[in-house]
Amino acid sequence: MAAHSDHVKHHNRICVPGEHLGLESEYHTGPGTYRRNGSIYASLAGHLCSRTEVETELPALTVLQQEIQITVPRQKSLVTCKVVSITSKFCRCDILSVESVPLTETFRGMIRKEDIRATEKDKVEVYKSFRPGDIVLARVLSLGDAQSYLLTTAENELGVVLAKSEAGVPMVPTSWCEMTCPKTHDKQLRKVAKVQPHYIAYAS
Amino acid sequence: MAGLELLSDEGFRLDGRRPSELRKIRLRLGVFDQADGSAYIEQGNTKALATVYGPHEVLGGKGKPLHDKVIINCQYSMATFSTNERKNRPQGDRKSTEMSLHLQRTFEATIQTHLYPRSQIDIFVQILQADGGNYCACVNAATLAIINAGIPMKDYVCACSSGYVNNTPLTDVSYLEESQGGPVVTVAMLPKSEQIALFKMDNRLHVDHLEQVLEVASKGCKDMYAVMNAAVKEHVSRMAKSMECS
Amino acid sequence: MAAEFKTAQPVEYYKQFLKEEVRPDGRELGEIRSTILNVGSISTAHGSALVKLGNTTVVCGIKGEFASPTVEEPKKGYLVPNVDLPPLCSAQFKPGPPSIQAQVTSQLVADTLLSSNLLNYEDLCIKEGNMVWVLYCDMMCLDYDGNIIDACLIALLAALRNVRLPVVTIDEDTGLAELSSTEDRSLNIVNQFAATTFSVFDDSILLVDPTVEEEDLATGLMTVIVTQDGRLCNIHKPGGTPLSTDQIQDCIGRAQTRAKEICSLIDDTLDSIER
Repeated sequence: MAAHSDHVKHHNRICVPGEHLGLESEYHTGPGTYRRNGSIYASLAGHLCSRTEVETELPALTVLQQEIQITVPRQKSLVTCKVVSITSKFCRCDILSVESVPLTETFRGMIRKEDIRATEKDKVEVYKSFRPGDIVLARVLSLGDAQSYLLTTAENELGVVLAKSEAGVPMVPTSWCEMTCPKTHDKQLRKVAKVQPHYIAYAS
Repeated sequence: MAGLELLSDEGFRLDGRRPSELRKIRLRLGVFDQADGSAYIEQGNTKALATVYGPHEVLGGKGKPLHDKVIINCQYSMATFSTNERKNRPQGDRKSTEMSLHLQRTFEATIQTHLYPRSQIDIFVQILQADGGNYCACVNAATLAIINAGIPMKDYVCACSSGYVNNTPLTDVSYLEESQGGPVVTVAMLPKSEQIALFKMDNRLHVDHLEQVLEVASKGCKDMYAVMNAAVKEHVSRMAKSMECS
Repeated sequence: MAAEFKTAQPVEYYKQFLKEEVRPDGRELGEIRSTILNVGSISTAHGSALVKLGNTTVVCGIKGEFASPTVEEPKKGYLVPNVDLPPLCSAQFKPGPPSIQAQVTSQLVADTLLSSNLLNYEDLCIKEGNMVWVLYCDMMCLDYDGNIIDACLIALLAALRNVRLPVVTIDEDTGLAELSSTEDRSLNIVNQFAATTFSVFDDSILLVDPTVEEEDLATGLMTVIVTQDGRLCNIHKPGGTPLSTDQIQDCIGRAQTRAKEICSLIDDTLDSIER
């Protein structure tokens, strides 16, 4: 995303909710703004900047905040979660952070058995993929039922990034479906993520 | 008028204000660390505190998550030591429940609720010391806390009350003026778009006077807006400076 | 990325810091957060105080009311402490009846008041066997960042010393109480006390004045309450990691130093107000 926003212009101006920023014929609405009656207004307090992504299009007005933007998991966002419990059909987890922004309060998520991996879905067993306490990288599939977000790990890059053995030490992945404890050399089955450095930094 | 002379012959009120004068306002944003947004406001001797949490998951109990917008949950509470007579219940009595509901309705009208479906935003307001205009102080504090939390809203909400004594409308009535039994009009307004989000009236007022009183109240809201706006801008630029330093 | 590491593995995150003998907020293991005290800010209360212990903020307001004394002790008034942890102060408290933690803290404060000989309760007598003052001490947390007990007790002490009760005269004929609007009096605080809370991390390391994160990770907590002159008033250690007698002795020693600091802080604040 950052690569496209090469035409960011900072208007040295602080705006507050309800402030008139410009006309709809001159700008698009970006984060922190909304439109009403053909005009664009601010909905947050912060610094104003306009950003042109494509030359032919109108620049989008955005209000930038100093303080961390609040995040909620959205569809397709990458989340880090901790496994809370497993059953034969699904695994429940707490979403800890969204797109590497830590949440102050966790959201509940659920990974169904058929969403654990992309191939051989019928052979998947939940207990061979996750155990309670594992840290899992997943993607939000949909907003799910009223109780929780539906998550998926059916990508090579997604799955368990951190798991502890019974000896209490972090295990080392040995294949895409197995992890080994460096202390006891005990082998355990997991749906291991192929760790991508730009996805995650603490796994090493 | 019973007993007290609310307006002197020279046109001054009991606390020395002119009829159209607001009480002294002191306010601060971002006073607390745990909350996502917080603000403290003093309007004369009325002291109120607001904190905002969320958006977060809808947690059991009352509300069911809405598929198209966020649930706004407000709780108004008065400290037991905030009034002259000790309050036994800080919240849950009818008066506070009514206040909570008023606040909730007011903010549902201004927060861009469609941005966070299936979530919940909690707004807690606490009166630490009450001296009239509690609802107004709460609305103003909550607005600042929401801005501090970075929750998108259409406009500020500013609230102000006004009374009517001796053919003169009074702005920002204190407890003493409120309790004399005269009419009190409370208005919560979106000052930029000049829309009224909440209008509440206690006691009787002749229709002919309504316009006058309403005008004074909305003038009070705009004065309030000027003060709040200055504080928000100052807060934003201070935050920007501290970011540059680090 | 440090933030991610912290959310995923808080214990390891803390261990990394504690190995270097510092805490993530930059404090040393035995260091207490800065304490700020403000007295008498709420004019509707008979006495009030606001304490900030780092980020933890507690306000205490005291209201006096008339009540009938008990038959056994017709000359004694009483104090009713109450600790409130409203949902306002932290996301971990939900609306509803008082949480267990709030009730436990209230009870601890009540027990400490009872055993500490803080003030002469006969001072609160208005008419023997008929009417006494009951002081409702409401402590409300506004921002919860751990170590609520210490903050509550500082607020309570400071508010009690700030109390101004109107002088009451009882009309002999009608038996009605009359409040003087000009004359008031303060309470005679005999014996001040202060609490110091320790948390045990990973069954081994003692941290003083824990933040909310440290409390959540703690394997044990202990609060030591000592009086100004160094006598032990109460120890509250609700289970958790067992500690040796030596460790407890060490904690008591540290609590004694802390109690002196707090009492002089309260003295200084009250002095600066009166001037």
